[in-house]
Amino acid sequence: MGDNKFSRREFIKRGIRTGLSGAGAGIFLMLTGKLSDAVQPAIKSDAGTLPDLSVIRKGTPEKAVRRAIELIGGMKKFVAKNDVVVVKPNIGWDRAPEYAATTNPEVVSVLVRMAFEAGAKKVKVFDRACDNVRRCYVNSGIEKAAKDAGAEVYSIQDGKKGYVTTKINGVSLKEWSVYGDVLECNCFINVPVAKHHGSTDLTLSMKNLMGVAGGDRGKFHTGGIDQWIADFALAVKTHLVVIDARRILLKNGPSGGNLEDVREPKTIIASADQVAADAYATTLFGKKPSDIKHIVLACRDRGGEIDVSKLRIAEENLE
Amino acid sequence: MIWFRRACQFVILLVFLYLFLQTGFIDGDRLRLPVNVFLKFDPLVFISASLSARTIVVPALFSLILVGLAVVFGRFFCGWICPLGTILNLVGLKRRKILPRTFKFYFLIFLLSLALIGIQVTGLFDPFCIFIRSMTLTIFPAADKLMLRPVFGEFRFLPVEPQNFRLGIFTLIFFFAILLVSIPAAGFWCRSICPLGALYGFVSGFSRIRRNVAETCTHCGECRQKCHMDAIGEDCFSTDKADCTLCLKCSAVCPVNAVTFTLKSGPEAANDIKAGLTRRQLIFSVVGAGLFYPVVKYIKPGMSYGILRPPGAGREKLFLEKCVRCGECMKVCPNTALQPALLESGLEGIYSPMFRMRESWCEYNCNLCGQVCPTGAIPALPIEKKRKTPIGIAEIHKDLCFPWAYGTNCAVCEEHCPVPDKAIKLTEKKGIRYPSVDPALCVGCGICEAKCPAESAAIRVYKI
Repeated sequence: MGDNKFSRREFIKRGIRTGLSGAGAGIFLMLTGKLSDAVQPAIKSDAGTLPDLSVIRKGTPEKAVRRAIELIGGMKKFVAKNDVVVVKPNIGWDRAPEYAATTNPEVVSVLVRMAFEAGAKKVKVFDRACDNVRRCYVNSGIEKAAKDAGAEVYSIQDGKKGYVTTKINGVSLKEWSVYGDVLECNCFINVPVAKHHGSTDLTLSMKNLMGVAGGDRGKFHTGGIDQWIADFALAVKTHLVVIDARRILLKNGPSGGNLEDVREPKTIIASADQVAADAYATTLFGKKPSDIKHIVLACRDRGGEIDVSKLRIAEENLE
Repeated sequence: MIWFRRACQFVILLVFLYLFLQTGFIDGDRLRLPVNVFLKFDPLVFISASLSARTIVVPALFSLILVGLAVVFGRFFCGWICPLGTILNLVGLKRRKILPRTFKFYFLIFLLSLALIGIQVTGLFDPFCIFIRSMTLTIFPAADKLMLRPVFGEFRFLPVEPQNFRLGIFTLIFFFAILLVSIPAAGFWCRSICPLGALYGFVSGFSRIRRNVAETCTHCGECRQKCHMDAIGEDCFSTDKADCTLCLKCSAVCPVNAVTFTLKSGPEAANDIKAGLTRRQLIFSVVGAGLFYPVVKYIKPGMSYGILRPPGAGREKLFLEKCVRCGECMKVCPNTALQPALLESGLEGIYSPMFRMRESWCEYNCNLCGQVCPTGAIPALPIEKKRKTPIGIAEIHKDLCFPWAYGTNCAVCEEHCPVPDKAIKLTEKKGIRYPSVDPALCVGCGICEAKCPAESAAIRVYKI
């Protein structure tokens, strides 16, 4: 994928061509497959003109995120005036941002600001941490960054009020508690950091959703984690996914702690389609989407395959 | 002047409470305020920990300054500074005497004798240890649940979740007993029991401060009535320097303004009441401590395996000798992972901090307990060193562990393991990832035990 760069005009042209021909393009399959409401791409009406996902390399986190979202239609496509927006980063671990165990605070900050610029009434930022939540919020730098950008930041640790038992109706996961603010908000933006994971090999946007799952999350692990993640991700409506791959963790994830395991592809991936975004992100680790079980299962369960080479990708390298 | 003293007491009480609230992970890994300053300047903590550990307890060394001040100003500390004294002053109504004043000296010698033979129980009765421990284990968690969190929501001084400590009720009863007895018998604690007061009182015998009563005294007895320490002799002239806390009430109430306080050098004044210990009392206390020794030692540890102590605590015996049971570490621990021991390490170990990893774990990047320990029982390790200091070592019980016992994937322990290179390794066989502990890397932080999804933890931390 890496050297397949083309200008905006070119990919729009190609996009129109692919969209019109409608022959075997990933997006087309997705639309015609047996999709649940949750995963229908928000850019449906623009299917012919907008890319499935955008990949921006280099630049500053601020510029990269802004450009990435601009390319898939701009924040106004996702956030309307007076919307309540939830930005869900990974704040799971007591690590500084350099360790790539948590989402880059600058990425979180710019998303919060963009949501406000698009007219959001309120932006909420939270995660259910694994380490001590206060330490995670402070040491990841996310609490301060998000608060400075105007967001409400709070913890949703187990035992907190606000979890709602929700029908999942997945292949193996039928019902689970989900943090209510995620279900009620107008726009849910999932902002994972791309990294290694001992159980699922990689943790990207779908795995990141475990941060809004209530109850005993250990059951995910023992219940067959890949299917559960796919079931859960297809049931919780995500409007926008921004994968932070500015820094990625290659091994000893998800908690990391060793700078030698960190690489800096300085990449931001944005998409309305979490499966497509995750599928693309695997390539940063030298893997294929088919290597990651929960991606394979999510594709299967919503109908259609993910072939990264058939996704319409807008790629840019910034200065 | 008396209002100046009251203002002083009040301000120091506020400082004490503020520092107490600041004792925790507030907004960074380093504590910005010296939250343990009251304990570090507690000479009883210094002397008893130094005696029992047979070393100089350096973190509390400067408490000797206060002993020096007591040589000049007497027991001013008790009347002007001690926060527990301030509280007891407030609740005291009547002045019934229920214990002889000399009891505190017996008690002090008794406690220090026990310290000398290696039994550290002084902290159970030191006023700061009592106050901080009671606040930590009971009063603050209760206030958090009943008042602070419902009214103010989650503000930065509150822990992540309301804390629960063992021994809570017992601690509360002990604290309220002191408060309740003080209502009809004001000053009974300070006058008759407080071992720190006894220490200051002992030194005050040499102090330069004098309570002077002018010839104009009418012997009305008003000063004796008001003295909650009962430090004034029947003649209204004489003063027990070991008990006078310079509260200045006698001076304030005197109808003829006959009472003044001055600093004087030279020989003792004739109107000093001789206090302190006779040789007989001394022997009595020491023998008492000797008799108590087998009682303490008879109550043996009830657990068959080692107790998990805070990071860097070192040998169990030395740790128990240095630890004054103040509860600072339990307050500061962001995970409420440090809990007071009951009888796990015998009667002498009651209230000493220990981990119960199944309930909560030691944060890998946190060394706050070492930062607050006033005696160095928990050493102030730099964070790089703390990360490599084992508390214990994890062991997998294969009969309980999902992959090993049931052939299903799990790996929650591996996911949470905070050691950068993972002390829990996964080996994949036929699609199942089996965890195993690398003993060279494991530091026994216990997050694996806390998070293990098995009903009974399938991975547990044991003392090495």
